[in-house]
This record gives sequence, C-alpha cells and structure tokens, in this order.
Amino acid sequence: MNNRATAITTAPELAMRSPDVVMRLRRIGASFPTRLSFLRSLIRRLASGGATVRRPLWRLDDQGFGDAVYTLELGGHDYSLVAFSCPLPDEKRSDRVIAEAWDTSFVLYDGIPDDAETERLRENAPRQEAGRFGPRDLVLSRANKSVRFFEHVADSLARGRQPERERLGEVGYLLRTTAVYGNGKFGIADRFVLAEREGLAGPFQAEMLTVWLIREFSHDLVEHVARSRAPETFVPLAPELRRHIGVGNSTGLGMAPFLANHPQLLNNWVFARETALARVRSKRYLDAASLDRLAELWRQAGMHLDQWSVEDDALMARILGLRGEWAEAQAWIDPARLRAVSSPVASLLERSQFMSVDFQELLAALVIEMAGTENDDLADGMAAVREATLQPGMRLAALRRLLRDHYGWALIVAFDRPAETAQFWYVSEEKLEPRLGRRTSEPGADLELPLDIARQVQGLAADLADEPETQTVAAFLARFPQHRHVVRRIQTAATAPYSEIRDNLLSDRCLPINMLRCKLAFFGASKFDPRSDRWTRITLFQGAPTAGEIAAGETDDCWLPVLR
Amino acid sequence: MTTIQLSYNEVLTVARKAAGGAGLPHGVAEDVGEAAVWLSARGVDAVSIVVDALGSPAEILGAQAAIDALCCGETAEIAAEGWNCRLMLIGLAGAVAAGTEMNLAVRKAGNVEPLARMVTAEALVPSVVGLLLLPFADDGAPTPLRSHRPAATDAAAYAAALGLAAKTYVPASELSRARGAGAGTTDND
Repeated sequence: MNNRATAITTAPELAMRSPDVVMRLRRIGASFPTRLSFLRSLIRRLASGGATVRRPLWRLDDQGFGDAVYTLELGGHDYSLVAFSCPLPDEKRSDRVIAEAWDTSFVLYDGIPDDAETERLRENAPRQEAGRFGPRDLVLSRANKSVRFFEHVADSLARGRQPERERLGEVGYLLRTTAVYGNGKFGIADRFVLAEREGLAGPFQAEMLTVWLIREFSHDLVEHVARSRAPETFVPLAPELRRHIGVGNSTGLGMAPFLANHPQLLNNWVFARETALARVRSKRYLDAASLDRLAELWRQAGMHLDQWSVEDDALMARILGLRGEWAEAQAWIDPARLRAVSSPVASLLERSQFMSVDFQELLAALVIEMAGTENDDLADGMAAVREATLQPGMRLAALRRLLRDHYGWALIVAFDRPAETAQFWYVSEEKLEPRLGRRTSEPGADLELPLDIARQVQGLAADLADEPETQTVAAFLARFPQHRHVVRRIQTAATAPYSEIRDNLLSDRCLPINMLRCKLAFFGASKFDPRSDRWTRITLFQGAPTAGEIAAGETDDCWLPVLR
Repeated sequence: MTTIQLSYNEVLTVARKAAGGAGLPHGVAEDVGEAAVWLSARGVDAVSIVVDALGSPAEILGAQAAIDALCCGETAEIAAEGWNCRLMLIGLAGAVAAGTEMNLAVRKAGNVEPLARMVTAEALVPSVVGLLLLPFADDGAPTPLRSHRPAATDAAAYAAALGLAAKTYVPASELSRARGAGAGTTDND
C-alpha cells in the first residue's frame, strides 16, 4: 500500500493524490470545507441568479410561536420555506433521532403554498417522521433552539444592545437542526425531480437552500421576540453579528453509512476536490495577487483555529496541535521564498507531508481557496445520476486485476484477529436508524448491514481463486450470488478511484465520527464539535451572506468563519 | 383495495429491504429495488409484484442469472414460459436496460419492443413470449419516467413488504439505546 500523497499521476502535469492516502478514515476525518462544498455552490448560484428573498407570511405571536413563509425564485422556479414555531417543554428538547417534538419544523415547498397547503403542512411538519408528505414537499427539517443563547440574544436586543461577542463566538447559532430529510423520505419529492431543475441539480442543493432559509428565519425570529418584549428599546442585530450567526446541526450515526452506500457519489465528490488540488499544485509560479491571497487566507485560518474550541478532549488536543503547527509554518508562505521556488504550491504540499494529517488537509483546503473561481467548474460534476451497474460480461481475469489494483487495502486485513470484527453495523427497530454495536456484547450481529466491505472482498477473493480466468462475471455470480454487491463495487472502482473508504469499518479502530466529518465538510460545515465518537455538532452558513446581502455573493468568511 | 402513494425512493427502499428480509443476498436485493422503481414508473404496483415474487426467492435468483447471461451473450433469449412472475423478470431486465446501454427487449407475438421505450408494463404480460438482447444499439432516446410519482401501492402488500423488511432490524435494547448517538446529554443548552 502506498502512503505517499502524490503517487498517482493522471496526466503529466496533474498529480492526483493516491486513494490509498486520501480515503483512509483518519484522513477523511480531518476534512475541512472547501470552495467546492455544497453550501458554497449554493451561495454562488443564489448570487449569480440575483435571488431575492420575500416573506409573504409572518404570523407569530409575541413569544415567537406561529407560522412564516419565505419565498425566492431560482432557475425559473419559486421555492418557499414554510416554517412552524411551537412551544416545547425543556424535557422534550432532544437532538436525538428518537425525539418526537421540536421547537421549529420546516418544509421547503415547490412553489408558493396557498392557505390549504400551509394548513396541510401545519398538520404534518411538526410531526416529522410521523407525518405524511407529497410531491411538492421537497425537503423536511426541524430544529431546536440553542435555548440559553437564544434567550441571551433576545434579551440583549430587547434592552437595546448587541449580544456579547464572546458568547456569539462560542455558540454561533440560534437554531440547531437535528434532521434535514430529502429524496423521497416520508413521501416528499424524489431527488430526480430536483436533478432536472437549474440551480438545484447539484448534490444536496435543496437541503442547503432549506438550511440557509432556516438561518434567515432564526435571525428574524429572535428579533421578533426581542421587539415584542420591548419595542421602545429594541435594536436589530448588527449586520456583522447577524452574518456570523449560522445554523447549528446535530448529526449522528444515521449519516455514517451514506458514504459507504453511495460509492459513485463519494468518488465524484472527492474526485472534484482532488482535481482542484492537483490543478493548483501544478502551478509553476504564483503571481503577486495569489501570494497576497495565500497570506490573507493563512491569517484567516489561524484566527479560525483560535476561535474553534471544543469539549471533546481528543479533538481539542488536535486543534491545539494544529494551532502550533500553523504558527510554526508561517514562514513557509514568505513571498520572497515562494517566488524563488518553482511550483511553489507543490513545494508547500510536499513540505506538509512532515506535519500532521490535520495540517495537511487544512493546507489542501487553503490552496484550493486561494485559486478562487478557477475550479468552480468542478462543482458541476459532483452529482451522480445513479450508482454503477453490474457488468456481467467482464472476465474474471479483469475482475482479479481490479481487485489487486484497488483493494489491496482490504486483502491485508487480518480478520482472524477479533479486533478486526469487533463492531457491527445494524438497523435498529426503533426509528429504523443505523447503529453500531459491539459484536461480543450486543445482540443483532446476525442481522448486520453489509458495510463489511473488506471482509466481503476477502470472501470474493477466496471464491475466485479456483475459477478460470476466461469465465464471465455472469457465470460466476450464477453460482455465487452472495458476491453480487461487492463485485459491483469493485467494478465501480475501475473508473471511480475514490469510491471506497479504504479502511475496515468493522475494526475496533473504526470511529464513525470520521465518516460524519467527511460528509459534513463536503456540505460546507465548520466548527466540528464531537459529542462522542458517533455524533457531532457543527455550524453551517456561519459567516455567509444573509438574504439581504446575497446579491454581493460570497464573503471572505464563507470558507472558515472568523468573528473579527 | 386501499392504496398508499409512495415516492420512488420509498418503493426502492421497501422493495430492497423486503428482498433482504426474504433472504436474498444484498446485491440481488439492490436489483430488486431498482426493478421495483422501473415497474412502478410504468403503471405497475411494484411492491405487490415484489412481495409475490419473494414467495420464491430462488426464482428471482434464477431470473437475475438468466438476465446476466443474456446481457453477456451467453444465451440468446429468455423464454417467458415457465416463469411464475413474469413482471418481476421484466422489471429486473428493465432496470438493467435503464441503467446501461444494453438494448434489452421483450418479444411479443409478432413484434419486439425495447424496454428502454416501454411506457406501461402490466398490460403486456399475457403477450410476452421472451426477453432478448437486440444486436444493435437502439437509436431512440430512452423514455424517461413518465410521472413524478410511482403507481399507487396496495396497502396490504406494503404492510407485507414492511413485515419482510422488519426481519432485518435489530430490536432496541437498553444497551443499544445507551450507546446510540447523542445518548446521555442534555440538549437544553
């Protein structure tokens, strides 16, 4: 297995990092958002389309309970966020998927709902999974208040002052979503409907639009409550503070198997990012503007690291290490030095190989950011129309080559060691959510999900051993249908090198938090705040333009937000 | 008959999980899910077809193997006679035709109809003689999904499919709850 990050060369000038390096759990668990992250793509589309957000309905009482509708036009279609805010006793406020009530619930609606449609949604949206939805309902979501911070902001604004910057920096959001459902869940519209729409065709664009509008609602909600309390002394949120208030999100194990279940899609995401990185790496020199931008982003990343603190001891230790490395490496970006070397970005990336994985991934995200719009075309290739299909006519000789070329990482796992099968993934009967169990102490291993990719690969290799090279996959699978899934995955890898997480997901070393961070970074999340090794809080759209600012496009804080 | 209106993703998911619950390997169950989507886009209550077909998992395995053999030229045609659930066979082939450039077609008395252009499936069952791979590329564009919603699903069949799917779920225990995401924290912060 190759551990060097520059092993694969796809073209003379375009050195892509090896999947053996990029797709390891520890490295994907160090992912940072990039310019290709989905919320960034959405902001650019909203800005270029001149999106204007209207609020045709605002029917909330003085305590902030009631209904609201936000509407915008994108790509020739109207979309509306229909928001419901309800009283919620503290004992019912839970981020867990087993919760049954929330402070707020939302539907992204296809069009502008009339009274009857709003009433239908009012009957169903607050019930979330227990409700039933239709083809005009595009995304379903819910969020709870960050109670103490919400109260602090409402109280401050009512008294005529701005919230404390320190508290704003610590929390960063008023509402925290605990689920954002799309693609046909509970009867809502299927993804292919959106895939045909200009502006929402990319991955998770409807979900990102929903969250961006929820953020707008949260700003308006807290101002409404504050104004109702003391209309004489109320002041609105200062623009720079409003911009720094994003939307929180609490994400658990349910998201982790997604990456393993969508190999083609995962490849497309990573391939786009790695192509962007390779393009930037191939630059022979950096002009003065790029050098200035590099230095500016370096400072911004350093400030972001200083403002990123978490309770999780393991991640906090990594953040502290990263802060130290970042300061230590400041001299690397000295303009005089970078002007004197050829291929300065490649030089920086090569030098980073001797730093932590966290440092390497932050630097990779930074140089992509430095390149600005140069790589924005890659965002168009990040969706996947469908996952790969089986190629039954492939000869076993070719299948064996793919196995050898792309699954060496799986063939060397020592499954005779109990530690390599210590965990198993399953679907809990309760709420039908994926969970991760300990094989020796929890029941259900006989019903485990097929996320044991490495073990399946080894099983396939064993059954292939005595089969003739000229036999077709069709003939082989007729006798061994249990290998159909893994054969399809292996065939996918031929054209999708980043389709597989190259680690054993059953191992006692497998931490689901790494899979969560990878996916959330592609969403554009920052301020990862793990609450265990299997769930995390994050912030979305912190530092991003608000509805009133969207015409101006991205802000400098869209990448890694900083409260200045 | 009481029906329920599902999304395509719900049709796919419940069909795949039901196939898994009936004991089919995961890779085959994935194809059953895709077949259900293809059928349900062509006016067929696919969940009912899948539930019926899962009464004989061996036939689904046989159908999948026969279609694989057809796609790589190891057989020239699959005779429809002898298959108890021809719509399942056609659905599996239709999903392959939709996802690949394989120009699979059904032979009826007197003519051949490419699956990629088929807009309804249920009515053709009595007239289907066989499935074949046409030796030339179809020059017409595939027919897209005709509707943004699949055919309605019989509620009883849906319940049966959910029952099969439930065989793949692990009952919750105190331990699993305690080790679940988010456990043991307060969210009133």
